[in-house]
Amino acid sequence: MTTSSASSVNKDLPIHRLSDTAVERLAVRVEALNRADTHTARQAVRQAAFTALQQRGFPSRKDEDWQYTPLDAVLRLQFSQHAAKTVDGAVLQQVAPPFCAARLVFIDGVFQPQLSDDLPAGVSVAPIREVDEAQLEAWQQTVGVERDPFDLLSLALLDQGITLKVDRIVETPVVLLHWATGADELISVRHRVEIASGTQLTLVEQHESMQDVSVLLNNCVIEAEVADGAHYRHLKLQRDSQQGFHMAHHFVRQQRRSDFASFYAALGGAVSRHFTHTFLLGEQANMDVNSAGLATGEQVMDTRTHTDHASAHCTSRQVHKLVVDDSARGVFDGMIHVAPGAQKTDGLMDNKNLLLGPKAKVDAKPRLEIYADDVKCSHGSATGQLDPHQLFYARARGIDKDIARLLITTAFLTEPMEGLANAAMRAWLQQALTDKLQG
Amino acid sequence: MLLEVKNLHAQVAEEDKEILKGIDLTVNPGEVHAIMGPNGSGKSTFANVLAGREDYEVTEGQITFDGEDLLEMEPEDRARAGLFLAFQYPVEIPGVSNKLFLFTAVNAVREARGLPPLAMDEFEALAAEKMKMLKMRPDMLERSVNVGFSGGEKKRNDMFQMAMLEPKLAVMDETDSGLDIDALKVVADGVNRLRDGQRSFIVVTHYQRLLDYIKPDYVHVLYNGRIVKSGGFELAQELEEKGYDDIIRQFSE
Repeated sequence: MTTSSASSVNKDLPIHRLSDTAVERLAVRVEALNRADTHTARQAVRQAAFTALQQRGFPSRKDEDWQYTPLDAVLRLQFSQHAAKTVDGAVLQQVAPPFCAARLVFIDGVFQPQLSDDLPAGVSVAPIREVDEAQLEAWQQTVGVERDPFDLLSLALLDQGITLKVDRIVETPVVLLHWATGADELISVRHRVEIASGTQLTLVEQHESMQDVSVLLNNCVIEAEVADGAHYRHLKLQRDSQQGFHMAHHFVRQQRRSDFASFYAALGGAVSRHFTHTFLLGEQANMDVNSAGLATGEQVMDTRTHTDHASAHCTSRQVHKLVVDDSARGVFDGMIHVAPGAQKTDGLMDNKNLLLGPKAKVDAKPRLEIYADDVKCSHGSATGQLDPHQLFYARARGIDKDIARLLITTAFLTEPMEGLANAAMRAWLQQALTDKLQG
Repeated sequence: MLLEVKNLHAQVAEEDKEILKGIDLTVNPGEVHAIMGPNGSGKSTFANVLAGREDYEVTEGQITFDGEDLLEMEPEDRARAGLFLAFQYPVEIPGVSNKLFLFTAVNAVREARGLPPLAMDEFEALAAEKMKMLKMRPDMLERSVNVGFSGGEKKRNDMFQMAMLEPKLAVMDETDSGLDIDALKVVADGVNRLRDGQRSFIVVTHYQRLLDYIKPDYVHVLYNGRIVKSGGFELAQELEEKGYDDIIRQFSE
């Protein structure tokens, strides 16, 4: 029997599907973090997560959850690190959203106070490293339990990211700009958002990269705690490089009468995956999770949700849309799970996909699991091509065929945004989608 | 003449079933022609072939529109040249506002006619004027194209588009017998307001009641893919009294 101190990991055990070089580099990173950070509970989380990753490995296409999302290219990464690149503040200004907001900047995952705005009143920020003991304990106890390997990777590299606490109604949106330079082939950020009872936050999660960025994995996890009666609005613009990989988890725990609304706009990444896992823990909580993705070239775009209706009288609404062009692939996977006792659950999940390219493809898997008897749940998924009647109607009014396509496709994609109350935010996301459509 | 149709044959694309079997029709500027006929006679097909719907394939014949070969033109080019199809069922386009849709259409048509594009405020002023004329609520401009509109509102919206695009020839596909009387009045009113002695109309309909409001100059009976009888407005009245039975007996194969 071997024993190891809290600060060391076993470098010799492989991680399924990763190269030895990549495993070793990961182990070196985990060790370096644990050497620099003497807090034993944090060391224990990293070590436990790394060990769990060694036991679990990364999935293949045989794994049901990864059937349609190829990881081969992602897992070929060696997690190299290159010389740091300087980032010009003016470049960051170009991707600033056109509405009043407080922006926090993360370059290759590292928070940059000097490039960031002052926080609005009611918001406080601390490094994720300083997360409380109870949370560390919770992480450590659940590393072995059904955690996704990319989530485990995030815990093994627990270091960068922030805890953002909200203790009053905050009107000014907080933007988290994640900017990738390519200096690091593995960016791992973990944020926590804690919204106190009766308060409100709009969080804009933005992912961008330098023009000529090399291949990298952007692994981002956000955990949000939405207390009684709190409102959490989340807007995500994912515009990572077309060669990069984007793996994201958004865990949201909702208490009584809380409200969570999310919109995800997917544009970037050779392979991208955005997973929203919502736990409706308190009664009368509302969730509204929508997305729109535009996949072109050979992109693989995966949007998935897991909605746990764990409590009675909760409502969930979802509209997910994907436009897939060229030989790109779209994946939608959505699960509504209704626990015994979650009576009067009202869950609706709709997925619509538009295939533009002759080789474009979408795999959709909407699912319901219901263990309560007095619920109203439905799901639907439809994949089709541009409606020839709509196209002809526009052309019969003198509108050019290509412009008609653009009008109809843009409308299809932006429909899920109509629920976004803020017109400037809506316009910003619409513009991002239209820019890519007009490519 | 504005439109000349000669020996037009057409079938459903990729099906070997001929629907139009040799139509001849001449329309001069300012004339209103009605095309009537029993269900399945090819009326709606004729209207859609004129507009260039790709579901149909023209196998024989010619159509000259304003001196040009219509069959060589894309649907959008036909619209720009001044041909307008009022749809039997105007199509819903969720997410595209009436304003953006029509602004795009109007400027495409203006460009083809060598006119400078309208700025948004000029467009809005013109739209407001036409909407007032057609008794439309101003907020209709902001709504998605035909989404959630009643049958009458959809028809009114089509008439509004027609008024904005100022076609030389409007083809009204009103084949369906299910249109309520209000929707028919909207169509008739739209046509009558735009009659100016130069603009021509082809009104395709199953029933005479629409023609009571429009009073066409010529009435043609289409049966089994051919125009089998032509006359003045009195022909429509005769058909209303006697029905299509005589025609069917006389011309069935």
